[in-house]
Amino acid sequence: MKNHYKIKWSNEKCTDAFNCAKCLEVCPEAVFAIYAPNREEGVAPEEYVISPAMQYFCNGCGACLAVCPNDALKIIPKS
Amino acid sequence: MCDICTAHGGGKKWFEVKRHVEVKFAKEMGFEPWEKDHWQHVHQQYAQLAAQAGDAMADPVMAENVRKMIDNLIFQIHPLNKNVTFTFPQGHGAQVLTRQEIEGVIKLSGEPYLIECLCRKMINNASDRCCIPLGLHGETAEMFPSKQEKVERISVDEAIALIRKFNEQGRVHTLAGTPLPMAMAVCNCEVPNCIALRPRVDMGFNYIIRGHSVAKVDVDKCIGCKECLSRCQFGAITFQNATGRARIDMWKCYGCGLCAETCPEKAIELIDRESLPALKDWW
Ligand code: SF4
Ligand code: SF4
Ligand code: SF4
Ligand code: SF4
Repeated sequence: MKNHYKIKWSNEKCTDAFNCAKCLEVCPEAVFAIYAPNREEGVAPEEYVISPAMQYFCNGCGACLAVCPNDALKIIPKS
Repeated sequence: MCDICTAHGGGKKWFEVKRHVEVKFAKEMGFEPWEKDHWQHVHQQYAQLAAQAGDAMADPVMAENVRKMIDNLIFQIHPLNKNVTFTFPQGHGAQVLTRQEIEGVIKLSGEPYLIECLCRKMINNASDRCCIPLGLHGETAEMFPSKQEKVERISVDEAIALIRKFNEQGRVHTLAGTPLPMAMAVCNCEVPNCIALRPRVDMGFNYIIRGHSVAKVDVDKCIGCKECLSRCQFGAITFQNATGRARIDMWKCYGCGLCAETCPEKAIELIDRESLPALKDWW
């Protein structure tokens, strides 16, 4: 059954999600999604954030933790 | 008839109705602001909704409620004027179609565009130019992330050549209603990095419904070469050692037609869902 882990992403530590995005590239379960919280028409967004959108499917493999250069992710097992 | 055709097809399939791909009609119906808003916020909506839906999945009762809520968003019909009904313009429902059906929609529209797939960009950080919006949906496209991405107007022939390439690559063709039944976004998707196929296949949310065909193996023709096995994104095909043949679980089949196109023996037949009493209401 799924839903084993919660993922915490740190806004303070992950400072340049748009140019890094390494966690997105390695996750086998396609858990993460990057998006711009404040978009305006015709303007390039300034801020991007990482959402563990599909954390329900996280298998705890740790690939994202290993690749994150800023230690911005935490995987918390659900009790 | 699937629900979309029943509600909007007027006897035809919903994607065969000319006005459903017409820019003029879409503008008359006032969908331009909706389109723009959609392009701006679809990423955010996915990222936030998916997390909530995932939490709800842990509880069967809540999961059922979320499913109902999403069905209502996508398939709820309300009259906009006396001649036309549209689904609530919040839903971005879609259907799996075969290559031939998709090529028909592109020809009907005559106005294809080419952009980078926003799903693959936001989920995998991959640049994948495989998304072919039509008409107003292409005209209004402002891509994510807008600082890099270009929207390109392509010809019908170019679009069809691309569809054939994607078909060879084994991508599922889907047609999205933006909003339903405006047939204006041709996607060439992969599971799981599609924001609509993943919730459908793994969570049962009807963002995408099954196609009008179901694949069936002709046991007399199949030579057990296994070519078709890797083509199915829905886990419907397995190889049976006992019989030495491929087997398709027709309940799992979405009718994309990829297996049929690849079979060297033409041993896979696409049959009309409506002709199968058990599957005719299985969308
Ligand atoms: S632990 Fe593995 S499955 Fe879970 S989010 Fe990280 S990479 Fe994805
Ligand atoms: S790998 Fe780490 S630093 Fe890079 S985008 Fe992901 S969370 Fe941010
Ligand atoms: S069985 Fe064939 S037609 Fe059905 S979903 Fe799989 S690849 Fe597509
Ligand atoms: S590709 Fe055709 S012949 Fe080969 S295993 Fe599949 S159905 Fe049989």
